[in-house]
Amino acid sequence: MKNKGVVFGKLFFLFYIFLICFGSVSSLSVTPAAASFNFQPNFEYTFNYHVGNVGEERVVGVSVVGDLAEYAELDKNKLVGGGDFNLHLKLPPYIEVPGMHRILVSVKEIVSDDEFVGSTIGTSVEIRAVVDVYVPYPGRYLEMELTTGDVNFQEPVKFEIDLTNRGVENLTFSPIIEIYNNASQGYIETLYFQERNLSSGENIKLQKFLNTTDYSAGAYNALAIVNYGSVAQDSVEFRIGRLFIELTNYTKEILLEGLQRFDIEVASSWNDRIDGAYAEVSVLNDSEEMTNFKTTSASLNPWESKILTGYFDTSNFTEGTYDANVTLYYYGKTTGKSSSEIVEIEFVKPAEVPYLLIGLIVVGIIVLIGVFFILKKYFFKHGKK
Amino acid sequence: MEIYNKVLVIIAVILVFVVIINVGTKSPLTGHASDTGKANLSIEAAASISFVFNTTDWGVGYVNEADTEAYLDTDAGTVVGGTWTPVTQPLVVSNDGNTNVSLNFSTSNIASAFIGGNSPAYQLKLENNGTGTCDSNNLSLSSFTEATGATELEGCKEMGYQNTMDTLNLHVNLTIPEDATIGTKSSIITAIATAVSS
Repeated sequence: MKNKGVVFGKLFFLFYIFLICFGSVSSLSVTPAAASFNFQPNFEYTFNYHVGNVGEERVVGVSVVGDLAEYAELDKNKLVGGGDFNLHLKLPPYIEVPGMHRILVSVKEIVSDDEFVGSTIGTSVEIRAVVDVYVPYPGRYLEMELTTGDVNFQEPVKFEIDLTNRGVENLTFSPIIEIYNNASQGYIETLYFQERNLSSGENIKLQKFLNTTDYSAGAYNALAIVNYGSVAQDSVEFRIGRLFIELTNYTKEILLEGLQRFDIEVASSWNDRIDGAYAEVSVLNDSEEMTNFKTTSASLNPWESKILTGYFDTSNFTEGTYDANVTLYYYGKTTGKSSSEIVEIEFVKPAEVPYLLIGLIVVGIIVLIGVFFILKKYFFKHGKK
Repeated sequence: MEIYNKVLVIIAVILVFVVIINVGTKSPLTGHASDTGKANLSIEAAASISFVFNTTDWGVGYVNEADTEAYLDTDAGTVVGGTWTPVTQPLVVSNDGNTNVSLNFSTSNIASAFIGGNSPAYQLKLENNGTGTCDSNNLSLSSFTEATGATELEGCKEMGYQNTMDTLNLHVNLTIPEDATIGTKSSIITAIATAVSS
């Protein structure tokens, strides 16, 4: 009994972990969130910050980090229930390293563990407001960013170029944007901008529209090039959509066991929302229709993929491969469309449980146990003698 | 002649007032700017972050006798190998400000200190709540990743702020081994938002 009790205790020694998780209210706001300026020797400025969305009793820590933090001074390092603080910045006469230098003003909820009685996961929030100081590069230096968006067939494509002169010299240049076919990498055409002058530290934003009347639906690449003595480049991809849903995947194997699920994954090639997309599936045995069913319907956001699901009875099927005609129906704005595709589905029998084998194994184990006890009793008797 | 002189005086007085008004107008900057160029100071908006849903409660439980570890997952909404109550509601982080932010996460401890035992796991995963909050190219924590304590995990490089596209779900996945130390433990997940300056 004692041995049994020890074994019993080991088997049932359970590990209790209390996982009661709750967090205090965690929210924080900081204004202003970001500031940026071009470096000027001995520049001095006081930034006024406001911290809000904090509970009355909440303690918030304030600190400053970053590669120019040594030139910044805070008038407070802690706030209770939010409030205001100042960051005084006094830059040196010279900063050797050109480019962007970032100062981070960290405002963080201070959460102590003793707040959580019996709890394990708490939450807190930290916001880092940024102060970016741009030290000009010697000579000429231009920063450029090209942006655009996807459109639908024959809609114009809008390009925007953001240009900032980060060098000490004034610049004169004429940007261009080259358009390429993404699939073939073939050049299509060039958009030309007027000549522009940009002083040191100055920023301008330019825009241009691409007429896509002669373009087919698909993916394209735009390359912006600015030659200002050196060359600045940036590229971006864009897509011209068409009202079409592509069948990208489906259930390829079905178990021959009553009602079975059939999934169809579809992807939208349209740059607007598609409503009421669903599929009608007709499973064929040669040319004879074995069953016909519809999937659930779904809406697709621009370029989104989704799964449509349907169910059908497999009782009339036997093992083998069948063709299925999948017809997709969908609506874009006021236009309804459909498309069909033939796919192959394999029907298989569910794996059978090897009852005979299991039975033989069980009998074998029982026999072995019986033999073990018989032998043990025999040797015990002879051992005593 | 007298009228002519009076007119001249009136014009002069007006000009003096114009000069005084221009000289008296103060720059909005409180600091001193160099005379050799312009600082072009640009200041933006407000950053605001909150945990809209900050409760994950699996209750009290233990690892099943027949299992060597239990798995608690808010993404699958399951508890496997243990008796805790499954949780389907993740933590939810919202960008309530009017500027995009980058979002990272840190934790006050890691799995070995939080849970203990042989091969525990304490993992985080981020996903859009709805669509468009964090573009797939910017979403770094898209699969469960081990929490690394004070070393920040990059979550989303650019989290939007516009309504219906400003919230993210933060899922937690715990692996609790059978030899995990008994008792209540605590961990704090900190969401760190940095303004993305335009």
